[in-house]
Amino acid sequence: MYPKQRDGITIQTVGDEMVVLDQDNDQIHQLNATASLILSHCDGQTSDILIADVLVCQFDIDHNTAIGDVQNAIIQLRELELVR
Amino acid sequence: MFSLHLIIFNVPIHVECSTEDIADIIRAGFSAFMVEPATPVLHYTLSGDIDVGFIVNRDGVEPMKVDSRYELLYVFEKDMTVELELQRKDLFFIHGAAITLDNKAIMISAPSGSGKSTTTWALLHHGFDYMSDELAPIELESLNVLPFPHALNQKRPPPAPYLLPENVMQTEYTLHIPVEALPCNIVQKPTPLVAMFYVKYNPDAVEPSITPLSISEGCMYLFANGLNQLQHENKGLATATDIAQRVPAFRVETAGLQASALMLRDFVTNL
Repeated sequence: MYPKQRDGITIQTVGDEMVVLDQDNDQIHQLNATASLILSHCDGQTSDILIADVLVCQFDIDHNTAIGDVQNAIIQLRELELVR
Repeated sequence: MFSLHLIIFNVPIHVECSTEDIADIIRAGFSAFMVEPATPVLHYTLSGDIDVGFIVNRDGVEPMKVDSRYELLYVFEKDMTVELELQRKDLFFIHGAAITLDNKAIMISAPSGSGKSTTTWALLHHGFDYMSDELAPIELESLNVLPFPHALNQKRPPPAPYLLPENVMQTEYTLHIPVEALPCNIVQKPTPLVAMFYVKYNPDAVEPSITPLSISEGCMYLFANGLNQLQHENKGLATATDIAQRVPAFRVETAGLQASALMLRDFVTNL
């Protein structure tokens, strides 16, 4: 299953970063630009590899590094319960 | 009954106290808000004593029973604050102190017990004037802070040279410095907010420091210290972002009260 933002979170974009409110868990998170870009593509229809392609285009990194970054970020976003 | 009339954020409040002791507690806490009688929007009756307990009664709700003078003041103020937030949904209420220097307001916010009120008390000895130590409501268009000059609360006596005055009102757990005893002017008019400081005491730090926050960090801190965020746009995040974009925010690590106060004074002077 492709990563998808959890229902019920509230996102505010601030420049290239995000502030994410998770009322269910009484948490607020600040995401850096990379994590924000990844979360914004977690729509349940986009694979890790395609999200990595976006990172390659956006930042000056190679594809393997981008895939590793995306997978690590998604693991953390799942731990934070922002993505399922 | 001892009848007291307050007006806070343009909301008239009538407080009837069954004993002089209770009236003295409210007077000590809210002397800056005392006005002539007016038709109240909120009406409280405070009764009881230390032997049988106190009752905080607001018209239309279940009476709240408390056991101490500390709880009496705490419950009364908390309930009143929530009601004021409901009355003034146009304001963004922040849990924080507000003080001014040269007609510039700054907000000092921190989790309870992190040194917010102690830092505020120290700064009042270094040229700052007093607006509030608990509640800093912000007008969203103007970004003015509204004054809420109740008694300044301390959980414990602050260190020298910032010793407490003699006429402190003491409850079981808190010390309340009436505004008349503060070593500064009391600001009674809305004042432009120029900076927000989020304070944390670090007992291991050699010297105090100030670090600028990004806008998203400022938004997050502001939201976390808000009191009525969810009443605002995008559950408060859009409003917090708007404020954070217009007012710079800083993380302050305090280390030594006097050194920290002087550092903040110099910093704000140059804003």
